[in-house]
Amino acid sequence: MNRALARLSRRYLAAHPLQLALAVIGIGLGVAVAVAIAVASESARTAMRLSVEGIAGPVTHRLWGPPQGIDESLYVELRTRHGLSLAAPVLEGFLRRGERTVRVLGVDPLAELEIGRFGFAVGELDGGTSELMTTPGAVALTDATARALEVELGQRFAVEVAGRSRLLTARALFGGSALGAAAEDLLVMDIGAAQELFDQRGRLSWIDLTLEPAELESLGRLLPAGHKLEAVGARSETLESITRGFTLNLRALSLLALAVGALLIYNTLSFSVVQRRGQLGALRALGATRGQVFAMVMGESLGVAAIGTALGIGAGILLAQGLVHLVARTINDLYFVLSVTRLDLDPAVLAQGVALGLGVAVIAAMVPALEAANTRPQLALARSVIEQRSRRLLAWSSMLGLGLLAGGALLLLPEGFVWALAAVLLMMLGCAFLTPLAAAGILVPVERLLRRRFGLGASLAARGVSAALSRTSPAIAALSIAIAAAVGMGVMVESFRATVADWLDYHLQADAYVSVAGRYGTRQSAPLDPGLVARVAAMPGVQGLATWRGVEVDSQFGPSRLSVLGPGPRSRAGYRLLDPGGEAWERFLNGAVLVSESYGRRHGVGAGSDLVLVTASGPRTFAVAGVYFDYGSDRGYVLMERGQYLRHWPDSVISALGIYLEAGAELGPLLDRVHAGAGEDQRIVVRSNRDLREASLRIFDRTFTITRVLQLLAVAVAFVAVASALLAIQLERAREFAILRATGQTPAGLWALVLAQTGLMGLVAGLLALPSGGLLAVLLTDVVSVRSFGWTLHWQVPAGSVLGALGLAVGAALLAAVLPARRLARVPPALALRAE
Amino acid sequence: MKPRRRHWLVVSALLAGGALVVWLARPPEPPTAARPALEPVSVLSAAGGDFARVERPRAFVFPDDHGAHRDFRHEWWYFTGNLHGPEGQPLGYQLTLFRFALAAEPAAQVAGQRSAWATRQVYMGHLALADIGSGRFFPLQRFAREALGLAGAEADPLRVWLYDWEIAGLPGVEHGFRLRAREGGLGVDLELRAEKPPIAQGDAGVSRKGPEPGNASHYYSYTRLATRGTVWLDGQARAVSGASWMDREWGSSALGPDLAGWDWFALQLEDGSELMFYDLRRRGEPRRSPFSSGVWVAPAGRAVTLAPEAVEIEVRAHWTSPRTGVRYPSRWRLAVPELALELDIRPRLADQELDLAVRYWEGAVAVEGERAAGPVSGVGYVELAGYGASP
Repeated sequence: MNRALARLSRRYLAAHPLQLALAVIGIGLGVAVAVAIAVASESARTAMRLSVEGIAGPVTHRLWGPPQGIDESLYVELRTRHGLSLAAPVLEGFLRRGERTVRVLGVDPLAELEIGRFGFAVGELDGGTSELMTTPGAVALTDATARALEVELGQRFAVEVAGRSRLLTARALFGGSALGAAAEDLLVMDIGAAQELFDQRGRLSWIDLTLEPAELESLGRLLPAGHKLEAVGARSETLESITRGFTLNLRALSLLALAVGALLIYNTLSFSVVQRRGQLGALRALGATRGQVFAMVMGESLGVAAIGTALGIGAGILLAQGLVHLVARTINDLYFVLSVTRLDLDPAVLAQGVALGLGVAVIAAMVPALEAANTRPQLALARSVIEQRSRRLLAWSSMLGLGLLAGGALLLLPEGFVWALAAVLLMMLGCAFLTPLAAAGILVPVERLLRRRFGLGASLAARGVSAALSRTSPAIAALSIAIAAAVGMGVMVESFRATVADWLDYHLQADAYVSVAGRYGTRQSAPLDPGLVARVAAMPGVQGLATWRGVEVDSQFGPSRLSVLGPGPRSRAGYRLLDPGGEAWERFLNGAVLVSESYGRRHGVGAGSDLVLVTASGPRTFAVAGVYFDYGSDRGYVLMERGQYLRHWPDSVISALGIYLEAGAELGPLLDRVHAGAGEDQRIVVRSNRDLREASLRIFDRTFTITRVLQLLAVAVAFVAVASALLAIQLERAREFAILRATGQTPAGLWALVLAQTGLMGLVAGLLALPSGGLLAVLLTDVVSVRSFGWTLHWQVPAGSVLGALGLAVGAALLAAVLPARRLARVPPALALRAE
Repeated sequence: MKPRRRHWLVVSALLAGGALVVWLARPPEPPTAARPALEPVSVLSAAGGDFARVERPRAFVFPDDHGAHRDFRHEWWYFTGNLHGPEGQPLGYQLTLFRFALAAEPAAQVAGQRSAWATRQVYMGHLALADIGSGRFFPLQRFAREALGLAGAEADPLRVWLYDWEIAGLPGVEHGFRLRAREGGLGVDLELRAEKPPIAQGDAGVSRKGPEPGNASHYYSYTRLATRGTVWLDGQARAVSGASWMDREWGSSALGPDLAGWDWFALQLEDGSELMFYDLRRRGEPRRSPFSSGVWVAPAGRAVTLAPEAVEIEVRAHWTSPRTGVRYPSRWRLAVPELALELDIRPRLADQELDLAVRYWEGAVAVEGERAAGPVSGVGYVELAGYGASP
């Protein structure tokens, strides 16, 4: 860029610091949100991968058995009879210390010596290894974990395992740097001690192996039925695929924030071009080429974006610190135990943020820069000429908007979650391009109405907005998209919540529920004391029991959650079928399985399909009798009757009970008796039907905290967009206002005029947000939810959120108008007039 | 705002953002330094706790004493041998199974509630092959606990094993062993038959290591075991034959704090005699410990105990390990004036260092010399311990 032009550019921006600041903040916020979400979900992904691969070391494969674990004699046989070396048995479990869920790996320190994991280095036979093997309850942990759990080396500390209190001793520290995040909230024990702690004598969770390709094949032939070798990488892919829908949703939301930021840059730049039209014309007359003028505007945009992006990346990383906890909590609530405690700042993610910020700046600056370059080398065109030309553009913009809407609709045709998201983005963009037309459509009749009812003064407000459509429409579009996003997401979340509440109403048929507190294992739920089950069944007033057992089994679709139901008196009513006719329940009681809606959609299984599950005695085919509504997990469940399960898996554990009362029996005294029946030993959770329903909804609300936070961020970005647009418009019209002042308008009158105009803009944005928000709601509720979670939601339009959206729009606009209004009213008319 | 100030603002904003990114992206703490390998001396010199102690001679009873003695802190079954292939290719092998108790066994086990993995007994196995012709040396090690049949020792029939490595009795042979150990392309499957009965070392099987009572081990040896079988190198099986030596030792505390280490010689001469001598080296003291000891076994099997001063050893060369930087003696003149014996002992391969959990040099040697003015030659194994814990 020519140096003189560059100086001109800098001077201009320096003379308009507020505008500059707004543009920087806008792009900064957009980049910050995008980077924060990318960093947070990337950190969660890394933590997920590390929880598998971080502890893998040189291990290449993992040998899995039935859900209740591998019989340890298989390990002995592989080691002593088949000469398998570099094999390490692992028993995994979870316990609680205070509010933290802690992962425990029971390992054989001697096998680990060969692999070199967990700091069991050769030469430590006299140190940690011996301590762990000979001291009951001894654990090894990292310094950081010791601090997090408030434990000192040598100290005995209390933990809770499947509701029972246990004492452990911190006996050894290991350097966790090789494990990275996987070492956090991780306790390593001797496998014998771990078997005793989790009451899993005789069992292993898995066997870690380092295999050559040739060994892989021969080992595969040795394995008993119901066992499987899995490459370590494949395991983390499995975990990733489980949460993919969730992280994609987050990414989509972050793009929305950036789109709003882009509108803001466009707004700032196009205003600056209009404002400098005279100057640009003079420049061209003085010999500046079109290219130079184009480069000047583009350079301004890139400069602004560079600062905004740099700040945005910094802010995004800070934001990610908070966001990552929300992401981790959601994954913990919905999917599996995951500890995400450190941010993973992948340079690629940060580079994406930079590219996003600068790329958006280039796109946003394209139109204003072209406009500037096309300035005729003569004195400035009259303002009216520009507005007229922009009205011609209106037609093009509207055509483009319609085209985008149509394109978005086409994208809905192919199956798949990503297409649906792309469709949502295209259609929202289409709505943005249609904004000028729609705004004009609203403003013209409003103006007429105002003139007829209130006279010229009032219609002036409406004229002011509509006459400057080239400037006002991006602001209106930005605000209306943000509001639409708020409306759309609000409707989706509300529908979701109402659907879940309705489901809980009929799904929770028993009068009270008993389960064990805390997480227990990756592939199975914590066992209830069998003695307690028998005692509860015999209690007076108990009509019957329903029992559950949750395990993870292998299927033709990879690991599947199997929910084992011992039906109680009213269990049937708790499972509503998509296709209610037929004999599905009877077939279920006689050996067929049911699948939940999300499982069915995810894997394309329905009534009449066959499902292969790997039982303790090898793969078996089960008939699917039907599909039931369930909103408990987006992975979905296979539901099996308990008798059928016991025929295929030697596992009589019960992990939850539903208690049905006899008519007239009282709940309160029964709950007390159940508590007393459990005794001191196992801490169980006994909840009435109503308590469980409320607790479930609380988890639901917690899960959507992250959505709400993003909604707020999108609105914040939009607020900045509106403020900057208003400021720009009002400043531009300084002369007009000065004339009004000079002709007798009071400062208070000007205030009223400015506020009326911005309020009108807000109202227009709010009204426009209703159809686009509605469209977004339909897409999110009926398309995205079904495709990403596999859940059918029942529509729920909260009147509050619709009115709220309008209020928000007007309120945001009014708030954004305060600063320019104050400034305008303060400028002496003579000064403003002279400035021309 | 003046341009200069604005410029400064932009630069400082960029710097702040950049610094934040750099700080957050800082590399994780460096990995903790790997611990140096244990010295055999430290393994054997730790306090015995409540373990049984070797205090008086005992008559060895076979096969019972081939089995484990769990009251004692440690013991080993130690086989070494010089073999040759069908075309005379020279090979050396070592197969040793060690048992260590991590703590003394409790008086009464808490039965029922314990996991089957619970144990205090740990086994370590070392397998080393010296392919003398090609100058290659392959040391391997394994660990397992005595639980679930992963490792253990049974006397009758004799079976000492660690995963699939195994020392077993030869059925129908009173003093015979079968050694089987394979891993990757390496392995041995050997049958060993004693040509001489076992001899009790030291004072009727009590080998004193220091002045304190109980600082001793029970120790017997098979000094010559005719050996044949198969050795695998690079996955290729090779028929072999030759002679082995077996040492069997158990105790609870072995070395006093004044000792720096030991040099152990086990030589099989072609005149049918064998010589064993362990030279206990003292810290900062050129004279060997008075508890050093040896034995000479005549061709007919008669054993003559050798007092520490009866044996002269002179180091003639050194070898420094490129792997660990440890400097080991590498050639000796060994003389026993009372037997009119003078020998020149040379490693058949310089690098026979085992840099494993325990670091030592254990290697095949060739012997040339004179006995009663006549030439004599032979082979043997030498063990060098305590030459440097860390490089």
